[in-house]
Amino acid sequence: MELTGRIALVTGAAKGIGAEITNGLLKKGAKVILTDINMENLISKTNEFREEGYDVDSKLLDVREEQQVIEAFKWIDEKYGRLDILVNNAGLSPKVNGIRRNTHDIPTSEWDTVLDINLKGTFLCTREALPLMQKGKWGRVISIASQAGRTGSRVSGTHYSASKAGIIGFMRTLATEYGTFGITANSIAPGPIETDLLYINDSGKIDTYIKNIPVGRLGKAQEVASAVTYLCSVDAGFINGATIDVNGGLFML
Amino acid sequence: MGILDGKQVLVTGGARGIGFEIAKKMAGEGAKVFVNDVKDEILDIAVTELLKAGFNAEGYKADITDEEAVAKMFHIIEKKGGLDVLVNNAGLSIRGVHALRTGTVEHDVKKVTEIGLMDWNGVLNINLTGTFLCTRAAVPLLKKSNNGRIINMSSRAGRAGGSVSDIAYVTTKAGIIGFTKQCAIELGAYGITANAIAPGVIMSEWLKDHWENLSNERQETLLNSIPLKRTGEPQEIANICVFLASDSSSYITGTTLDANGGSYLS
Ligand SMILES: NC(=O)c1ccc[n+]([C@@H]2O[C@H](COP(=O)([O-])OP(=O)(O)OC[C@H]3O[C@@H](n4cnc5c(N)ncnc54)[C@H](O)[C@@H]3O)[C@@H](O)[C@H]2O)c1
Ligand SMILES: NC(=O)c1ccc[n+]([C@@H]2O[C@H](COP(=O)([O-])OP(=O)(O)OC[C@H]3O[C@@H](n4cnc5c(N)ncnc54)[C@H](O)[C@@H]3O)[C@@H](O)[C@H]2O)c1
Repeated sequence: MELTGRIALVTGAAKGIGAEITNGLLKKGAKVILTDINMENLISKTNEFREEGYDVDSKLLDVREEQQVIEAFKWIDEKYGRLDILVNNAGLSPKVNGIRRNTHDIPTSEWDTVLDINLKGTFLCTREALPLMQKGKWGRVISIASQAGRTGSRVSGTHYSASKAGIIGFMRTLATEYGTFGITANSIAPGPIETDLLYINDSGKIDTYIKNIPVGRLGKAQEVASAVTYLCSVDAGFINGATIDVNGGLFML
Repeated sequence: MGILDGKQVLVTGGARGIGFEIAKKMAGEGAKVFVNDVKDEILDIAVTELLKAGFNAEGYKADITDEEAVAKMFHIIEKKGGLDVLVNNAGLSIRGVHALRTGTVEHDVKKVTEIGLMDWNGVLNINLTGTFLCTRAAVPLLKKSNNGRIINMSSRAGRAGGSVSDIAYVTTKAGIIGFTKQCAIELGAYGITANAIAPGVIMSEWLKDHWENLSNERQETLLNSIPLKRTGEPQEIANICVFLASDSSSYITGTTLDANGGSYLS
């Protein structure tokens, strides 16, 4: 299989898009290390995959915590000696009763939390993963950005947009640094995908949303996952520094 | 068993270069491939190679700028079972059009003031009008497919301009991106997706000629501007085409996928 022998780590893998990304990589033959901040979900998701006969491992990991990140990658180094694929997926889009806070209402603590998880977490995991990828002379760093980082959003807040646009910039510059080691760096920018994160407390709003999507429906987490597995393939080796929109045509750039 | 089993594909300008690799790769993934080109000598060679490899392929000679010829081609494709994927690949630069028209190859990239109207019209005709004609004729067939796909060949030059491209080419390749978006909007309701690919510097036949005429210094500067430090291969564009034609890309529409080794980071 395409990814047989590859070792992958997915952050925020316990549910939603992260769980589907994990599923997609497993189906292509990779070994996947699931990480998440939510222990209960992490254990049950990992067991679910294990029961299906897949090669999985897991590690409780809050991507914001430098020490935890360092230790997690040290553990991988000791256990497996390398890492081939990193998917920076963990992310947060805070809402109050399904509605974002407008900027004048955002407390600094909420701003910091979003930037810490979405942006600093991506930096920390990538930094610690790179030496392990360089060992294998092959690597794929894939970060889950968002349509909100490509254009304005009507459902998520300014902190979320700032962090997701930040991810795209981060990945583009990363792409210039490690190409000669066989490591590519790309972003995926999903539009509205049916997961808990999308939860909008207003069915009217969802309907308007869908009306504006050329394919006439929300996306599925698997449809983000299939873009990830594609970027991990050997076939995608000349794609570097790119952002792939998976949004049903809602926003085209 | 391939990921395009049972799909019928048309690749325009498929007799050589990137188009040929697209045809080959898609056929290798199980698709039945109709290969179009305007030049029958190279088309015959291409189709023979595909058939020898055991693939399901058929050649159609047609000039995609000729409305009637395009209508005829799609009429035949409809009779032969319809179409799931249209790859609008045929495309030329001023250099290519000029060579076709006059038989002389000029290696220097012409600047805006040096371009004659005939050459300008030639580039617009092939790259834009040809894409329009094929798409218009393909839509009724694609509507009958469950997973209609339109894949248009743009270029890195259409995203950012570039020192090895002329202005007519850049104009059309940027035009392709707009064309693609509007296709996505108008055809989404029929389950048809439309996407563009924007290749960077790819070692296809025409580039090979041009490349050999560049000084070592110029070659090195170009390579150094690419983070992956190499030009791309036609196969690498074909791979992306397969992805965009496959069920894996079902929620991707209206986008332009860059494959340029990072040389221009969009
Ligand atoms: N759902 C959408 O419409 C959508 C659209 C665009 C982008 N995205 C992005 O996709 C990614 C996944 O989103 P989702 O919709 O699956 O969300 P989700 O809320 O369903 O899942 C997110 C997962 O990340 C984990 N997580 C949260 N904070 C963490 C931390 N500090 N460390 C480690 N793990 C943490 C959560 O426990 C959860 O398992 C996010 O980056 C999100 O921004 C989602
Ligand atoms: N090679 C690169 O670096 C590069 C980069 C970006 C984009 N592209 C694009 O990729 C596509 C393929 O390019 P290539 O490098 O393989 O070029 P190529 O010249 O090798 O192939 C183009 C093919 O199109 C055919 N063709 C020309 N006019 C036609 C017409 N009117 N009707 C039907 N067929 C016609 C030609 O006969 C030829 O076989 C083009 O659209 C090109 O603009 C190429």
